[in-house]
Amino acid sequence: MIKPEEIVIPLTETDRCLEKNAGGKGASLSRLIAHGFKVPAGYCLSTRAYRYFIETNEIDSAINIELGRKPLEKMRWEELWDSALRIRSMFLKSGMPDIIAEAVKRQHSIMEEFSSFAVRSSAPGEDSAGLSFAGLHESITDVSGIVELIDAIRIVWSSLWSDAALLYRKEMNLDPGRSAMAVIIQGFQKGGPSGVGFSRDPRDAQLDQSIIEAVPGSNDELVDGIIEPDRWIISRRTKSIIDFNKGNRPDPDDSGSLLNTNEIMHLYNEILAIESKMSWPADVEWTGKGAKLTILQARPITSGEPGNKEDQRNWYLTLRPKLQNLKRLAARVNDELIPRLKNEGERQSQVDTEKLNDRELGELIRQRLSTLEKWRKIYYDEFIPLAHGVRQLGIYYNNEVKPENPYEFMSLLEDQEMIASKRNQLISSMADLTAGNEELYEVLRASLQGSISDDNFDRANLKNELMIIPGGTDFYNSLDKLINEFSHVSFKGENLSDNPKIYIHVILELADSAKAEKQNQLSVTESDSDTITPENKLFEAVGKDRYEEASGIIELGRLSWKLRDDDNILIGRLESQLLDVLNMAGKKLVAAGKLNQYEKLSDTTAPILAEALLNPPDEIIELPREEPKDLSELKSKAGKPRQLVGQPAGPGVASGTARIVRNIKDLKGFKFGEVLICDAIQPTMTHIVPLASGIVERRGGMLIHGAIIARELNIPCVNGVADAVDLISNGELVTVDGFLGIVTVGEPELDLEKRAGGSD
Amino acid sequence: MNDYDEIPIRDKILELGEGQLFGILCTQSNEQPYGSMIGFALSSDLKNAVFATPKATRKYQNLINCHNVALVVNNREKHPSDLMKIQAFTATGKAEEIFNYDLQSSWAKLLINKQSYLGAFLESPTTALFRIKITRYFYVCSFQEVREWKPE
Repeated sequence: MIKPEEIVIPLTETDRCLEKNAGGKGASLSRLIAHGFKVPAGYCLSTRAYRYFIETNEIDSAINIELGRKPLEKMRWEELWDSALRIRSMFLKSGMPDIIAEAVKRQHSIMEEFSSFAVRSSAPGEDSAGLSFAGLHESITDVSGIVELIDAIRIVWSSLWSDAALLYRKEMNLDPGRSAMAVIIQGFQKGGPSGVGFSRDPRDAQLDQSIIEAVPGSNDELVDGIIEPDRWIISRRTKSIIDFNKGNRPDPDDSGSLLNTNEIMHLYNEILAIESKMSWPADVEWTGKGAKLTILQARPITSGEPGNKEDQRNWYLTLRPKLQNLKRLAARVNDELIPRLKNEGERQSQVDTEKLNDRELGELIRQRLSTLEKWRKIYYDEFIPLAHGVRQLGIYYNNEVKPENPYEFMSLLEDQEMIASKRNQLISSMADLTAGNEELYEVLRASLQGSISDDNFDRANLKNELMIIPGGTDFYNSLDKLINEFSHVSFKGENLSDNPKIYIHVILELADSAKAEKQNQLSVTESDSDTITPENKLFEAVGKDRYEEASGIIELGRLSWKLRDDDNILIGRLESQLLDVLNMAGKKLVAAGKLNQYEKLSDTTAPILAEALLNPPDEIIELPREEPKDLSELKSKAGKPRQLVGQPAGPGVASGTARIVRNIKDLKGFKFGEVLICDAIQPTMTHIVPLASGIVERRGGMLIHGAIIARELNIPCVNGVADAVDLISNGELVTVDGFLGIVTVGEPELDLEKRAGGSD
Repeated sequence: MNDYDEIPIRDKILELGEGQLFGILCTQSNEQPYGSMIGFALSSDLKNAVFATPKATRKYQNLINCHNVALVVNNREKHPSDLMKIQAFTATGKAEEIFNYDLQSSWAKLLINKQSYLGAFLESPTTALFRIKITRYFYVCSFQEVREWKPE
C-alpha cells in the first residue's frame, strides 16, 4: 500500500526531492528553487506513485513478457516500436488508482491560479553527466482539465518505455526492469520568448564561451528543430557577445533580435549563477525575459549533446519526428521525390542498351550505380523517416480512442491503391481466368515443360499458342502487363522480369486452389455493417473542434503507408535496371575471355565490371565470391528447433511443409499450401504469398511488409523469429500459430525415445 | 519442532500452491513420460488445478492421448543450504479439456485471477484450457519426508 504523503512531493521540499524519488529533473528544479531561482510553481509525482500504478495494474509482469520475448539486443527497432506501442496502450487503458487521482486533484485545486499545466518526465538517472534522455521521454505542455492531466501523466509514464528510450537503454546497457519515472507537474507559462542556454559550448567545452538560443514561442519548437532560433555566443572571459546569428523565420513581424543586450546579459548571468550553484556546466531551458525570466529546467551538459558522436541518442530522436516536420517531408516525397524516382525508372527503361559498345556500357554501369546509390541514400534519409507517419497515426489514435487492440488504427490504412496490391489483383484475375478455362490451363501447364527451374522460357511460342485459343489473347495481354509494369524488380541479384515462369507457376497453383475451393467453399467473414468504423471512433473521441487535426493525421498516415510500399518497388526497379546492364557486361566479358563463367552478379561487382569494360585488363578478372554460411555450426549450437517464439503478426493457425526462400530460385518451386520461411518478404516476393498457408519471417514488426500482406490475405504469420531461415529445414512440418506467435517444428512424436529402448 | 504438528497438511499444500506461479506438468504418450513447465492455479478446495497450453504442442498431444497427469510444485531456490527447507507436492489426477470457455467462465477466471498476464493467451483460439481433477497429493518436506493427502 502507498501512503498519500509518498505520492506528491512539492518542489519546494528540497530534502524530499531527491533523485530517487523525484528523478533528475525534479531534484534539479527543487535545488534551483532553494537557491532562489525563479521556477514555475509545481510538484512532483514520485517514482513510488509510478511503481504503485504499475503494480496495481500488473503492468510490470506484462512489460516483462513483452520485453522478455527475446534479448533486447536481438530486437530490431520495428519490434521495439511494436513492444513500445503495446506497453503504451497498457498504460493508457489502466485505471489510475484512486489514491493517486485524489492526490493529483488536491494539488490541482491548490494551484487554481493556473489555467494549464506542463507535465514533464523526470526519471532517476535521466540527466546525469554521462547520460541524456532529454527528448527521449515525453513531456506535454499546455494541459488543462483534471481528466486531461491524468491522461497526460499516464502518457508521460508510458514514455519510460518508448521505442527511442528502449533503444537508448539498450545502447547504454541499462536494465529497463530497474527503471522508474517521476512526473513534474508545473503551472504552464504561455508566450515567449523561450530558449536554451549552455554555460559552456557543448560542442567543445575547451572553448571559453557560452551559447544562448531563443525562439519567439514555446521551447518545443526549438527542441524539435521546427523553428530556427536566434543564437548568441558569449565570451566567458570578457563577458561580452562575440557572435550573433539571427534565425531565419518566416514571420514578417519578427525583424529584430528576440532579446536585447541587457536581456541577454541578464540571462547569461543567471546561467552562470546556475553553473556555480549546481557545480556543473549547465544546460538550461528558460522562458520569458527581463524580470519575467523563468528557468524551466537545468541539467549537466552531457556527452550526449549534439556534436558528440559517441552515442546515438540524436538518431533515436529522429524516430519521433514532429507532425509539422512529417507534413513537410510527406509533401516533398509525394510531390517531388516519388515522381522523380518514377521518371528515372522510365528514363532508364528507354535506353537501348543492346547497341552500346564496351565503353558506353561501362559508362552506363557507372551512371546507374551512382544513381542507385543516390536513391538509396534518399531512401534512408527521407523515405524511412516518412514511414513514421503511420506510427504517428497509431499513437494519436491510441491516445484518443484507447482501443482494446492497439493495432485497431491499421484498418484506417486499408484500401490503398498500392503498386503491390495492383499486381496481386492482376495475378489473381489471371488465376481466375485460368481456373475457368481448361484449354488455357493446359497451354500454360505445357509451357512450363515439366520443369520450372529451366530458365529458357519461350515467351514468343507461348504467345502464338495463346493467340489461337479462346481467352488466350486476354491472358497474354495481362501477362505482358504483369512483366512490363510490375516485374522490373530484383531479388538477391536476380531479376523477376527474367523469370516469367514463376508467374505462370503461381497462376497455375492459384488456379488449382481456386478449383479446390469451389468444391469446398470456405466461409468468408462478412464485415458487420453496424460496427462503428475506426475513423468515426476517432472523430467521436477528438470532438468536432479537432476534426481537421485528426483528418490531417489520418491523411498523413495513409500517404506514408502507401509511399512506403511504392518506394521499395520503385527503387527495386532501378536495382533491376542496373542488373540488366551488369548481366550484359558479364556476357560480353565472358565472350572476350576476360571473365570466367559466374553464378550471379550483384551491384557490388558493378565497379569491377565497368572498369573492365572501360580499360580492358590483360588478365582474367576476379569477382568477389560470397562464401556460403556454415549452417552446421549454428544448428549444432542451437539444437534442433521444436518450438520457436516470435511475434504474432497475422492471426490464424496453419500447418504445412516448410519452404525456405533465400533467393529467386527458391521461389520457383513454391507450392500451394507450403509455409513460407524467409528473412523478410521482399516486394519481389509478394506474388507467391497467396500460395502460402503460413508465413515465418526473421524480421519482426506488425508494420513490416510481410505482416501487412499476411493480414491482407488472412494468412497466419509469425515474425521476429531469429534464425528461422537457418534453423528450419525445407520439407519439415511446421505449424504457424499467428495468434500466439509460436512456430512448432515437426510432429509432436516421441518415437526416438521408443526406438532408443526398443530392442529389449 | 516439526511443522506437521502445528499446521495441517491441507493448509501447507494450499499455501504452497497459492504461493507458486509455476509447476511441472508430467504427461505421457506411448509409454514415454514428458515434463512441461506451466502456469497454474488451484481451486480453494484443492480438488482441481487449472492451466492452459497452446494446441500445437507435444504437451497438448500427450494430454489428448492420455488424461493421467502429475503436477509437481515446489519452492526451491538456488542454494544447497535450502535443501531441508524445500517444500514440494506432486498432485496426481486426470486432465480434462474445458471447451467453449470465455474469460468470464469460472475455470478461466480461476487461472486469470492468479496469472493476470495470461488474458490474451487464453483468448487465442489456439489455446486450450485444462483442469486437472486431483485425486491425491504427495507432500514432501525435509527433503525426503513424504505424506499423502486426498482432497475431500
